[in-house]
Amino acid sequence: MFSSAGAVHGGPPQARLLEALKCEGEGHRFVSATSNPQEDSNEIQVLHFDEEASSLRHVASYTHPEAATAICPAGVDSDHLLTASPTGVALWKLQEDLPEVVSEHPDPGSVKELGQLAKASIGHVTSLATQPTQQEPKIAAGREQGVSLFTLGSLTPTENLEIPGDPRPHVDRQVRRCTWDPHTPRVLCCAYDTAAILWDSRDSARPTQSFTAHKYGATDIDFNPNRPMVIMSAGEDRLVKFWDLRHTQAPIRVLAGHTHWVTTARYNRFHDQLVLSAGTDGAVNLWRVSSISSSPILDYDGEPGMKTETMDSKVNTYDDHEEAVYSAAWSASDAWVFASLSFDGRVVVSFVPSTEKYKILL
Amino acid sequence: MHAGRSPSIGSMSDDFSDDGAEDESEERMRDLLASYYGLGAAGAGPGGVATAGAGGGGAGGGPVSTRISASDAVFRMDAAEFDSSEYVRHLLRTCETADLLQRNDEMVHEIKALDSDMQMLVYENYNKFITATDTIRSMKQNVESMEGEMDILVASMDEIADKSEHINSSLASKRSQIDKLVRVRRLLKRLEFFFELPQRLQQCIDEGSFAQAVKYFKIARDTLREYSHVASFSNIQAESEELMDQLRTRLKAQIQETLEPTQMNELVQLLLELDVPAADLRPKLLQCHEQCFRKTLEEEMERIRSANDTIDLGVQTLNQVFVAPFVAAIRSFHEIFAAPDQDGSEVLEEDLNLMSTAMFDLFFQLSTSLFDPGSLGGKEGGLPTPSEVRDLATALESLLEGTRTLDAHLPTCNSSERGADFVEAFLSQRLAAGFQWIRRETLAALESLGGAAASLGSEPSGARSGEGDFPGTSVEQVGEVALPNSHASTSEAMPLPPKAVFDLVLDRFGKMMDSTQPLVQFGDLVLGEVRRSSGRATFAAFTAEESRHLVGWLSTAMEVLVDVTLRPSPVCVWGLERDASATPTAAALQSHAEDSWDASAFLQGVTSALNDPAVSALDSPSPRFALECSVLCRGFHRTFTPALAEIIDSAIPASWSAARVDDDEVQAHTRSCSNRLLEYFVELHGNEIAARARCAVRGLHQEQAPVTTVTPAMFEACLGFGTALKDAATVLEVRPTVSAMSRSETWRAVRPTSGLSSAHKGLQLDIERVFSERVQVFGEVGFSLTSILEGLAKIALKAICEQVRASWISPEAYQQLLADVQFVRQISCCFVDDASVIDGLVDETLVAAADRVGSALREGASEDADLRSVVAQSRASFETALRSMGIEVR
Repeated sequence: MFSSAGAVHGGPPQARLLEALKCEGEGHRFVSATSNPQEDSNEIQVLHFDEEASSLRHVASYTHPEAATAICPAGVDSDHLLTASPTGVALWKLQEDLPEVVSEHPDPGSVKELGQLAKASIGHVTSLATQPTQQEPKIAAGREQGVSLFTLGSLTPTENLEIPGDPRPHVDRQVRRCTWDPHTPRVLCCAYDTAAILWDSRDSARPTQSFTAHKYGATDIDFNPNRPMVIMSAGEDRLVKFWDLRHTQAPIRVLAGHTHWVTTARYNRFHDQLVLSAGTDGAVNLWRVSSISSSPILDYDGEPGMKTETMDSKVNTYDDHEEAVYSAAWSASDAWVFASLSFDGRVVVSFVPSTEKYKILL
Repeated sequence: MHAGRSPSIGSMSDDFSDDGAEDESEERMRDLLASYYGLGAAGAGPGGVATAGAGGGGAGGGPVSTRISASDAVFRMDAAEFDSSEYVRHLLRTCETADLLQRNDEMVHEIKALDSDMQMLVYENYNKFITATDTIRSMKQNVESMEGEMDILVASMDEIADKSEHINSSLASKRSQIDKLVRVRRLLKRLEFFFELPQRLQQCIDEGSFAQAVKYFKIARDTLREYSHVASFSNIQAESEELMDQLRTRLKAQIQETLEPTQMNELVQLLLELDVPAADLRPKLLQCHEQCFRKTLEEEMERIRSANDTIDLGVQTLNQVFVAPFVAAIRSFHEIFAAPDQDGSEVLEEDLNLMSTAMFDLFFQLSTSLFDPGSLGGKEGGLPTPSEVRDLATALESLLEGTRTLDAHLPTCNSSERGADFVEAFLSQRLAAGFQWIRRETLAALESLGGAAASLGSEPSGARSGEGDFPGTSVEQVGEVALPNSHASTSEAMPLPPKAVFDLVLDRFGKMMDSTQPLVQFGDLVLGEVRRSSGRATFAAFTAEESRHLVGWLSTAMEVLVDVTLRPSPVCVWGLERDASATPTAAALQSHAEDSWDASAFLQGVTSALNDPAVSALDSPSPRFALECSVLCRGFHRTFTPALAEIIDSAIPASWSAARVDDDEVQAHTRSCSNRLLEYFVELHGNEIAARARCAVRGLHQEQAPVTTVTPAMFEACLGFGTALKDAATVLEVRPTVSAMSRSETWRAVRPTSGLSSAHKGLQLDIERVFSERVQVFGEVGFSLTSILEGLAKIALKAICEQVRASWISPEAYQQLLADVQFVRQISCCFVDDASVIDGLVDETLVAAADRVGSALREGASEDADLRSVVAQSRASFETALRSMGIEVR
């Protein structure tokens, strides 16, 4: 329970996608997906991590007909999953009776067919995000030069948010990531080229805001779950940056610690002073960014004038991956567990060090 | 001899009358008499007799005496021991006959002379005796007559005494009466004073001589009180008291109106004498003083401001109007209230201290407000002229003098200390402003250098086809195509003078030191006197410390200007950067910071550059500017800091060691700044190449045609190597050469084994990776063309690899990609010494490419040989392109 030793699981290669799933019972559940151009060899795996036994096993494997380019829990039910592919978006239903504990050596032939519920052919979608609302959540699908919005009911785009034309040739026009603002669920933010672009879904005509976030390209964006107007972005300049959306001239914090591109940066859903980042250098970094969090450590060691150094620091570097890490996710059921996925298919589940945990809790 | 003389007896009788005629004979006579009577004491004394005797003997024995020892008394005739027979025997024995005869004659003569002398003496004696008898007789007669007269005198004296006694007794009664009367008169006079007192007081009051009135009243008061049981006295007392009450009231009223402190002093003194409690008066007096001083100070201040006086004049004026009068006021205050009957002196001190503190505060505030820290060397950006500095020093000295004078009288104000503090703070501020000025000047120079570098452009024409910067273009800028470099190639050859920045800083530094050096010396001198014991850091040390800051600041400012990605932002410096591998300096700085937050003033100098809003990144700093800055930083400890230390040493001799500007800390910092700048140069160029190469890979997506040449976009991207090489060669001042490509001819074989499962390949790669070091893509660049180019190649290849992994590749595109990657590899290999790192990255890319081919690969779709010739062809034209850029290919 208190150890920070994680668990490792080897999955299929060409893996780029990892998301946390809600888990009804004990343990933590993640879903990973591959993005293999050889279409018949793509898999979606549901992984279960048992803290007591410190075991990480896949509880189910599904074939995915195409390379998955994005996955996202569909919001309404924990067993609904959205996937994106070069051709469109599909909604899946995971098997209801996922076993709590699977046998040590799962049957290789146990790869199942997914139950596809619906599919929308809207071209190459590279990112997905479910609106964090209770009723009729919209799905944002990032594609080339824009984002399409649709609902689960119809799976046909109701709105198209277009990024203004960019005359420069050879720009990667794919929206790399889009995410909804948890505080104002109508606001959508996406990473496109070097910029972070925000829309208000009530006015799809033009973005409300856009600013250059990373000099050589932005790869990920995440909203602070507890503090409105604060976002975090990761980029190919090796940095993780924090922005106050009201003043985007300069970032409010910059984290430098990766030696190559940063591919993922995620806020802890419960404690926004904990931040996870991973990159193509194969490193997964855990940061404490207390000074700009919703609950800065004020009287740490009884000293009121606490210095930034103790407020903010890199907590740990997890270098269990040999390959580039394209995705990392916090557990949906616990604040202290996270998983990361490298290109060779390796999933590593790690813990927040207990000292760090106590610093936040006590 | 004597015999020849015959002195008259008569003349001898004149011994008493002393009208002697014959001096000589008379004197002889007197001598003889005297010797006879043994009157040695009187007259010529025994000497005279002896002389006479010896004269007798000696004269006789003239020649003999020479032969006779003078001490031999036996042979002396006058001596008592004289033995005549012995003498004769002696003569007979010693003298010849002639001598004896002569001696005989002599002795006969002497005897004769002595006989006559004797005769004469007898006569004289008798004569004297007769005279004495006569004298006694006459004396007896006189005394008898006097006796009668004495009796008469006694009788009359008795009579006088009787009469005196009588008179005295008869007058005694009168005398006591007179005494009494005198006393009564005195009393009456006093009474008169008392009875006239009210009128007198009234008069005095009317005349306005209050002091006189109070004096009278004070004289009378006690007596009046003593006799107050007598009706008239009590009336007088009542009357006087009433008058005094009136006076008191009047004085009190005046006190309220009076503003003049001297007048106030008098009034207060009078009131105190009139028993008004001191506690009531003190505040009034203090208030009066306070108002007076406040008014004076403010008026003077107004005047100084309007007259636009120099600082030293202003300070002196304020000193004049305040210090001495204030001390006098305090002294008089003490005098007035120092009376022993005053209640607790603590209260007194407290009130006084309150007032004096307030006054001193005002004075101090006004004085110091004359010193405007920003007025010189401040916003205008100029340095103070020598005369201004002189004025300043004089003014500071006056200020200190004033505070020191006041210090003795205002024990609680700590004025001297405050003065010193102010001077210290002011001078520090001044010095800091000087350094700020240098910073601004330097910044301007650096910015212009950066601007020049940008306008010069870092690329030869042709390499860039006007497509603008791919990175850094934000969505806001969409729609405008930036073409800043289209006209730049003409001025390419113009050398940029980065060393000019050094010279400029040194020049400014020298100027600044010249201008502030008098202040530094003055400050050290004055403050050294004031706080001899406290041992604070001197300004010389301050200057040295600031100089160190300057070096740190300068190198960090360059990083900020260039906008180095992983520069130690304050956050990185102070905490977040715990990973030493990422940025070595950040880790180094970190270790400093962890020791103690405030430990290093140098670090503050560094961070001041990071936090300074004036220091901000240039719009688009060219890679070349980054490299220039890097070279500058690198040269700091070799050329710049020694020169800096020299300037300081010459300005402030022997006050500190020059090594302090150039210690390990500074060197470590400048070196790491230099490294980061260099790495950033590589990063800028590398990312440029990488971006183009990624575009090329993305463009392959739809490739269907057979491979005939390397993708033009990839070829173009690789020209970026040439550009970077030229940039680096220019700045590093080496010839732009690349080694011959022959040894990179080898073909990197890949086995795109579609049959083998990816998992196995992954495993195989994993094993390989376990045994090989992880490639550090960014950083680890040295100051050599090879190292720089290797850095570029790593960045480019890693980016290509990542792009490949995210791409969908058709079999045709795969062939094309093979050719492209081999091309990049061959180019890269000819730049670097050790190709293993590059080969590792190439392998990874090729494996990734094979994995990303969607449909199964057709075996041998395009023969390796075909690809080889394509690559060789492209490489040849690449060499040509390099040569056309002025790069030597050997």
